[in-house]
Amino acid sequence: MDSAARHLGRFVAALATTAVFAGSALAAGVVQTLHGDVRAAQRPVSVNQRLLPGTTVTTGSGAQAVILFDDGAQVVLHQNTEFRIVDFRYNDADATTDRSILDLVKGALRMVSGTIGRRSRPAFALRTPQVTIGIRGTDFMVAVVNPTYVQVIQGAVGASNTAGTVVFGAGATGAATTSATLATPIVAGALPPAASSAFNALGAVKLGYGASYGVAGGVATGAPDAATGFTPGTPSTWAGIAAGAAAAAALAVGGGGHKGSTSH
Amino acid sequence: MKQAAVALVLLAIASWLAHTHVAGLIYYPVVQLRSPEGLTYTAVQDSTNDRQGCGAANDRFLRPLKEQCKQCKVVFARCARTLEGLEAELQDGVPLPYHRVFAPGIRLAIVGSAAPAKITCELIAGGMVQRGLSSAACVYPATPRPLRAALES
Repeated sequence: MDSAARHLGRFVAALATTAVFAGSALAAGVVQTLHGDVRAAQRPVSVNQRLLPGTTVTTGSGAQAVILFDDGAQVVLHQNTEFRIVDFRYNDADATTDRSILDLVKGALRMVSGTIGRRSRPAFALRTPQVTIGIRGTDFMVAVVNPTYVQVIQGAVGASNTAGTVVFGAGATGAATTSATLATPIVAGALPPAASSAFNALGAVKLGYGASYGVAGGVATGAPDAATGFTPGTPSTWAGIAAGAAAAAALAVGGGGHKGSTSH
Repeated sequence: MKQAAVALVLLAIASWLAHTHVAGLIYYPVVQLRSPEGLTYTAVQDSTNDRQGCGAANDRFLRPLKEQCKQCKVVFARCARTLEGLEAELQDGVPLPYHRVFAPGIRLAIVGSAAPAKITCELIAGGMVQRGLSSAACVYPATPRPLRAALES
């Protein structure tokens, strides 16, 4: 009888261990630092607490939290923010399973992308009610104050909705008014106070860029598109056109004699 | 003597009018390309009142392209006094059934299969930002109006 109980005990312990490891494998990230009222699934969180896909994290007034994702990405949540980890899958050895779908329902955040952002760009999406942010090796901030505002610290982000994709480079600020109108570049001084103060606070947070941080301008590679399977020819085609267009645009930006404005 | 003076004045007036006319002209740098993937690109840059400046603008656009895309075929590069058709619509920013790249000073339409055009459009916008532009847009084709709405209007 004792032997049977011992076996049962070992079985239960093994099962528990398996469950713990399974939980770890499914986890998306860990709460790195926090202050104030920060909750996951409506329960107060603690430092080093692991967060699972499907978890909604909220911050109260004056609160802030930093989440370190398993791929090295870091997210700083501003006060009064609601952030949802919709889907997150990361296996260091297998890029084909990469997936990072995040929702910023309200509030503001700053994000430094990780390995998924570098090696599986189409697998990443940060969604707001107005746009989906795609990353290209980036440190950026987003504030949902209706409209959505984005500001890029390093690298570049693509803000996509049904109207198109606008790529913002380092130092650029953009606004997306609705999900059906193209995001537009704006001057930082045009940010509303709520977004401006959020960006000031988030921008001041010291983040250690992980080894996986893809640096500025890690833009598209010309790799096959996951959705369509289309390989955009030789990179020289679009790269050549981009170079020519950039040369033309640079002159326009520098006020080199062209007339008219083609702001988008 | 008097006739010579009148002729001189008339000549001066004619010269001034001719100068004013030429100075009032504007030129749009327009380039059309075809890529090996079967996409056709039409680029319209901001207008200039300098004919030589227009040619230089086209050169500026084509130089890196020729260096980096040997397979791309330049269909034409010209300085248009007026824009018509796709070029005018592109410049005016009206909704079009094509993917377009918008950036300060230049607008580019990509005509061809939708999937390659979309990817290339986003790559070009991203590539422009990679080359130092603060932002560039890839605008998706305008959604065709539903048949009922089209009939009712």
